[in-house]
Amino acid sequence: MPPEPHRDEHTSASRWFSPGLVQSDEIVLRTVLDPDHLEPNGNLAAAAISLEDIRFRGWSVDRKRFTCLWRVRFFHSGWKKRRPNIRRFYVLPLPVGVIRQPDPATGQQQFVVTDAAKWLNPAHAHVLLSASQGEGAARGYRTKLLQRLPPYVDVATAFTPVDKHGCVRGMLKQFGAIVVAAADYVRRRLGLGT
Amino acid sequence: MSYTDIHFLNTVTPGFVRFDASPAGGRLIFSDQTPYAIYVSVPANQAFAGSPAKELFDRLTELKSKYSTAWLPYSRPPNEGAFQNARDFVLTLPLNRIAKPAIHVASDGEVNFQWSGPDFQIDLGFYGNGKFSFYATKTGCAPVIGDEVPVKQGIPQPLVDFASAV
Repeated sequence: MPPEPHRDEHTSASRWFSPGLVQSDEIVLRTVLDPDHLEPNGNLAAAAISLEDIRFRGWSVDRKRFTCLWRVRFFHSGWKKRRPNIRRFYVLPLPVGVIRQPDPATGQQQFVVTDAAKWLNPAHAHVLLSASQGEGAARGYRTKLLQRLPPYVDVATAFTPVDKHGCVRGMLKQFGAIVVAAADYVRRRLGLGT
Repeated sequence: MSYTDIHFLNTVTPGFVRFDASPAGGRLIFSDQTPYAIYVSVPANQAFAGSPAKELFDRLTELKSKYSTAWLPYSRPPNEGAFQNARDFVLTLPLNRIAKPAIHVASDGEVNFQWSGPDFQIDLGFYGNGKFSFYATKTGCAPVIGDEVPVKQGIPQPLVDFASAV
C-alpha cells in the first residue's frame, strides 16, 4: 500500500514552495489528451482520471491563478514531442468549489484540493479522495466526479487577457514562501521560537 | 474480400472453459478438469469477422501496442497480465445481451472497461493480478460495488442486468 498522501486542505503539502492554500473560488486546470482521454463520442473517459491518482498520488492540476497560457502550452509541446500521436490538447477548467461539493446523499466531502506546489511550478495542486477508499468505492467517486465536471475547452479559451500575469504572480509568491520558510527554519535552528 | 480465421485457445485452469460466439447466439461451456490446452479454430465469415468480441480483442491489441511504454510523466503502461485478464473477461461477456464497453488505458496501468447508457454507468478495470473491481449504478437501483473479484468468475449478474437492453 502506498504511503498515506497529504489530504489536509488547511495546510500545504509543500510549505517551502507554496503560493498559498487553494481557495474554493479558484479554477484549476487539468489537461485532456485527444484521443487518450476521450470516448469516440467525445465524452471524457473514466480512465482520464487514474484511480491511483485520486487514491494515493494526487490527480495533478494547475491553479489558473498562478499559471498562464504560454506555460501550459510549453508543457503540452513537451508531451507532444514525447508522444507524437496526441491529436490535440484540451483543458478542463474545474471550479474548486465544485470539486469540494459534499455528496448530497451523505453530506460528506468526497474530494479535497490541496496545495502541492513544486519548485518552479507554484501552480501545482492535487485532487484527492478526502479519505482512504477501496478500489471499487473509488470508482464510484470517480464516476460521480466525472458527472460534475464542466466541458473541456481549447487551451486558449481557458485564459483571458487578465490571466497573463499568472506565472509571474505564482513565482513571486513562491519566492516569498521560500524566504519566509527559510527564515522560519533559521529561527527554529537558533532556538528563537516561531 | 477475405477474412482471417479466428483461433481460440483456452486458459488451462481447473474449472470451466467457455467459448463465446455471441453474435451467432452460440456459447459453449466445458465443465472439466482438463490438463490440456484446447484449440478451437473457427472458419472466418463476414458475420463472425465483424463480431463484438473480435472488435474488443482488436481494441485490446491496439491498446497494448500503443501503450507499451510510459507515455506521460509519472505514467505506467499496463502489464501483460492486465491485458490477459481483460481478454479473459471479454470471453465471459454476453455480448448478445449487452453493448460493447469502451476500453481505455489509465496512466496508473489500468485497463478500463466503461459502459455508459442513458440511465446507467459501469466502471470496471484490471491491473493484472487476476482480479477486477467495479462500480455500477442505474437510475432507481442501489449502486453495486465489487473489489478483488476473480476474473474467472466473469461479469457479475447485476452488471448484466444494468447494461442489458431487454
